[in-house]
Amino acid sequence: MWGNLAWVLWLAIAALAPFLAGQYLLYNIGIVATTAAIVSGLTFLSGVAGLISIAQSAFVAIGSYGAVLLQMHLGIPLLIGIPVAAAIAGVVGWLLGFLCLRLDGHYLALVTLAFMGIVHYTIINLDITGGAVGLAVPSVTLFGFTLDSPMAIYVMAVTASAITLWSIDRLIHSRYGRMLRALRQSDIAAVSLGADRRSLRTMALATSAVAGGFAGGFQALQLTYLDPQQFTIVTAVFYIAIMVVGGMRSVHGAIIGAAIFVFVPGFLSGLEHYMAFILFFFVTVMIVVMPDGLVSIFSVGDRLSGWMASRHGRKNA
Amino acid sequence: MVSTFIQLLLSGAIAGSVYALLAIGLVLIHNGTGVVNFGFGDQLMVGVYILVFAQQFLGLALPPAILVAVIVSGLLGLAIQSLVMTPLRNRPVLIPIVATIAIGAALREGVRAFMGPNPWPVPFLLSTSPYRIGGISIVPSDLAILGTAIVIMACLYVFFEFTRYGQAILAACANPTGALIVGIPAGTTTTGIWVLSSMLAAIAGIVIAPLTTLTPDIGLIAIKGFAAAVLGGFASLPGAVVGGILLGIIEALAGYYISSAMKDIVSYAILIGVIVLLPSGLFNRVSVRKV
Repeated sequence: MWGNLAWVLWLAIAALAPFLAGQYLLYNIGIVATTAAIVSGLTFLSGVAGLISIAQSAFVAIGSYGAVLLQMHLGIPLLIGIPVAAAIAGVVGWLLGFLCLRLDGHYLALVTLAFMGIVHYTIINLDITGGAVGLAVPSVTLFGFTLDSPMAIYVMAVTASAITLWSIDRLIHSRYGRMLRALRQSDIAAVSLGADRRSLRTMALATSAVAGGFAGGFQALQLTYLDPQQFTIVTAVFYIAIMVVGGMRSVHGAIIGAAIFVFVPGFLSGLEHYMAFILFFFVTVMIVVMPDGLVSIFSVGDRLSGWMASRHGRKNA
Repeated sequence: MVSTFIQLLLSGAIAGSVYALLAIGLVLIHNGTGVVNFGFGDQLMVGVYILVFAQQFLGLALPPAILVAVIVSGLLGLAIQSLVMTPLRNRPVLIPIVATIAIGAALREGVRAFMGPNPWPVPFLLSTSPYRIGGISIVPSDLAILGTAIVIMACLYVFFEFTRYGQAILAACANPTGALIVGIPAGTTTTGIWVLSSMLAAIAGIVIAPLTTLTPDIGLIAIKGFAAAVLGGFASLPGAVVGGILLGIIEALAGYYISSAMKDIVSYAILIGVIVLLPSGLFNRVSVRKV
């Protein structure tokens, strides 16, 4: 019940924002949307499959640099290039998973950490990526129109994010998502029922990479510039923190977490220097006292109604 | 030519001895609690900053400042273990791993806010003017690094082999359930492991920091500890030592004979390559965990 209500709320905010919000707020709402979509890939990987990746920024980099380079060198329009680059990110994620997911989960964290480092070094040291200077993101053109107004970028980014978030939500509740959850809770039971542990987990990593690459490509349109410093282990850790704060069991957690990380620093502007520290300290406290994330506040209602229903049922029996 | 090669081996072994300390700290926590500590590098960073703080703001001389840094780092480890890791010990392994990542980021950003993002000077342990012995230059401060690492490893060897407490920790690492059955208190050994490992982080940081620049991001050096630990199989302490020294030498050779940019990427490549090709390290026979 809460899930559907939340979808209505998010869509209403996204649809009304262009009419009610000023340009600055509109930009930030768009950033929340793309960030949430990037993080939803991690939600699927960690919350559903129980694996941890410190490379989400690397897949975001593949999606955004890939799309821009495809446009600059092969003339492929950005709106086609972004899905293509996202698919490339997916293939890379699949390969990474194929190579190391026959091992324990720890090893994926280590391998993705190293992969993140390699991607960052590659971006800085190649000429084609603009090195440490970075790359300007060209504008999107569609049927001869240049879509570079804040409103056009907002509409494209939010639409792409909504598609990503909704797809991940459907995947979580699909047969594939249920098999991954079963594997996380008891891999012995799930494997004995015929789940292929390695290929399912590999697909989960590929899925999260596609989400990161796709939403990352659209975030590049919002940011208009690719700076290698956006694609480091530090930013990858930020994505993990966003997932944890909101709650890693549903895409709504990703949205709530992203909203907190985008808006809270603005409210506490007097504490600018200490902002990142406060956020990560908060994340650590959250893990200990509320490991299911802020979204679990809302499920109290669900639990309560479930409890009342069971009492009611017992009385009737 | 030969002297260049020997020089490279020497400088590789010196850096490698520090990587070995890092790897020991990581392997200890992994063996004792089943968690890879992704905040280890940031604990190292905090240790060096405490040293700098004690020297510059409290006016302590170098030796007492080092003592303060090591002790406070141990207390920090104690706090992390008792406030965060113990409450999470029965949760799926994903949760404590994420907790170590978050603690590391909080430490890093806290220090960045408190001490600023700019580099701080860190004192060398001994003089930096080199002696030349038969075409090879030997720097006292480098020897201090190697010497410290060797002394620490020797102390650890004595501690683990010849003391009751060390034996209890090894037993709890090798077989937690078995250790509990024979009456080794799990809580005490876990605390000991965290304190010891955190003190190692500070010591490794203090010896390596003068060679690099001390910024809040110095903790990324922990990646070398991960690579060294993986080379050694992430299970045994001797493996961690050999892995560390090997990594240092490979790095020095690759940096000289291939390109200096390679030096940074070597540990990343080793991390991936070894995990993919030799998941139980260079020295262990492959044991595939069956479902």
